[in-house]
Amino acid sequence: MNTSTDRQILAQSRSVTASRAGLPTASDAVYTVYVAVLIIAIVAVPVVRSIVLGLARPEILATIVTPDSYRGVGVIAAVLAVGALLIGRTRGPVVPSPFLTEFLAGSHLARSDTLRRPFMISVAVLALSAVTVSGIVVGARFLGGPTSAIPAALIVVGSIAYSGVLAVLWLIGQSCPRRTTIPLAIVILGSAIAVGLGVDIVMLATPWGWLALLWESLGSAAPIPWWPVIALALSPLVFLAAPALLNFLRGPELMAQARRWQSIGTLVQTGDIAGASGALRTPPTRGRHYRISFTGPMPIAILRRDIGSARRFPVRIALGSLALVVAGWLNAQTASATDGLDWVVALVGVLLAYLAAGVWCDGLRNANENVGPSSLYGRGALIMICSHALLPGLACLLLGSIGVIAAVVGGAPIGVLPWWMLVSVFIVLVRILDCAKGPMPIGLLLPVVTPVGDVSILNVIAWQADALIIVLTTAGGLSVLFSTVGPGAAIWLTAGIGIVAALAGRRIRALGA
Amino acid sequence: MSSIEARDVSASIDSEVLLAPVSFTANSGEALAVQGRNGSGKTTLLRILSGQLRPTGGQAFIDGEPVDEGHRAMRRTISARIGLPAFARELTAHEHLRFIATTWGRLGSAATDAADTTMAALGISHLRNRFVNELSSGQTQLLSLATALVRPCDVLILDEPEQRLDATRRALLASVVRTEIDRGAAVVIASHSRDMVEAIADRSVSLAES
Repeated sequence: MNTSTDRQILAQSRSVTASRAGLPTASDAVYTVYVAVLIIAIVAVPVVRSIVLGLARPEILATIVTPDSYRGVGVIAAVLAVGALLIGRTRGPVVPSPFLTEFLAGSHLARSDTLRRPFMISVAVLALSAVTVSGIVVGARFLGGPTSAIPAALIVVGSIAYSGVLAVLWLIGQSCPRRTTIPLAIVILGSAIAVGLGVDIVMLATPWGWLALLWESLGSAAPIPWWPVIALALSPLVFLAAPALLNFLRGPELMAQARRWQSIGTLVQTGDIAGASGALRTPPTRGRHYRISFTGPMPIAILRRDIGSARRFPVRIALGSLALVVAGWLNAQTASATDGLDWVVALVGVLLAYLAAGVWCDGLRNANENVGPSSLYGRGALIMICSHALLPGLACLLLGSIGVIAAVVGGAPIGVLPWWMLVSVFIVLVRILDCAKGPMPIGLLLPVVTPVGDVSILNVIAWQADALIIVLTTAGGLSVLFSTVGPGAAIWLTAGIGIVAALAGRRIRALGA
Repeated sequence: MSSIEARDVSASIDSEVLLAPVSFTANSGEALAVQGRNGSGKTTLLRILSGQLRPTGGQAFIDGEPVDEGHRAMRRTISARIGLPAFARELTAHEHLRFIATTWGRLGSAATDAADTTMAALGISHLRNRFVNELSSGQTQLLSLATALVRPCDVLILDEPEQRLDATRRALLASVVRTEIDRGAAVVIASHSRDMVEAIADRSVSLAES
């Protein structure tokens, strides 16, 4: 079958779905545009403006415009490339609906044709993100002092070109096997280290190095380097590989991603964030022959069960452990961060700790799912939940303390260690609170009419993100307070621990324990 | 028309055997029934034959070529229905079939005709304007089978097609599959229904419990 026939088939296939009954009407489209304009005007513009103004503050801008900042740009760009490669197998750039995956991508038509549209949407999203991020940073530099217009424009354009490179790497991550992508990711990571050390040859030979060199030109009076400009201008040539990579995508793997992300979308819409994140956790494939001992008192048996099952997810556990170490280090750095940055350091630290603790919470989630009359287990819900909370608690305390001790060795006050202990307990209790959430109350979906439209979505978002809000405001905010007033903050956090423990107990009882 | 062959095909994960080695050939115009107890690997075998799963031992072939889902020609040759497909909740039953027929090159009225014919053959014409969530479990199964029958193929693979169907529908389905066989398709079905196997299959292969 020739290409023109294929195109005709594809066009007619799309016309079938386009002509279906119950399509959105013109008024639906107008309403969508109205909502989009409102969101941009009321939310996006003020947020972007405040970020630009925040970055343009002298003490923060001083960090961005240091002479070595270009190395940081190169490292960040390279790490993004590694991330794009590695995330492809979990969520690639090409994830059509399961229906289109089965009946369009599964047809005899070339996947370079049937999957081009979803890929181009991902490319557009990446390009838009690149424009936004680079625009914000360049805008902050303009506000902060004299900046040349041409290099600034080149950075924005270069970021768009680099987003194309990221898109193709993302597609490589989705279509190629791990045995190809992991070595490639290691090579890129190695080059990121070289870029961080300022090795010239790596700067000149890699897309992340080109972006870094463009950034360097922004702050120097020297002429704009021609090589990174030309190289990034030619980088869209990487899209020539896209058709072959699309054709290399395997049907079963496409379907697995399509089903997984459809179910995640449904779970998020219904407020089941825990279920959605559960769908992201791939089932174990190794360690089936590990023998998990259940001997000893119940808490010890459960701790053994949780440790044994954690061994079946070595990559997830390794990443979570590393994140906890970094979180502890960040929390201990809050006191030494400059004014304004201390909030960023504290919030990122506790957010990272909360997310990383989640990889140790599989047993805790299972215990919460088994609260109530139909429980699989013969022990009370509180005993089960408290026992399953031991492992995430120990992980936070021990792994986070490694990061804290590293910070202490680097000059942080020793008092940050007991503070981290309190933060760890608080975070695990919030994890328990979140696990015991149950289904979203249907009342939150009722319309809340205001002059700007239905804002019931705010209720839903608040309900979905309550644990994150509690962690950021309490643990994050009090970490900043601890860095200034010391032990007084510990009293507040202890009170917070008591309140969260009481709330968690109430939720567990409400689930039918 | 094509033939399909399993040559010492097996599947395992670590030391867990999902499918013990099995060999057979189903030629054009011939139907082969795969039988065995629960867990013997029938669905695993069908997934391997349709290219959805790579065997850990042996190989499946279509006309002497290794089965590879990545090849367009291979996707055109094999029509497999293993479990329920990914339905689109926004499409009616008829729109589903029309869309699928179109993607396989049956354009315009040809797609509509293919959808009409398949629905009529399975006795579900009256469901043409129903959405999938408005179908009973048996009707959903019939629509699922229709998605495999509305498109062209040389090899038809069906996993327990009799599930959730009453005796009348099972007979209707057997008749439709026989028509495919008479047309020259090679058919492989896994089934626990003796009636279905007797009505469709020329030969059968029993899988050892793995």
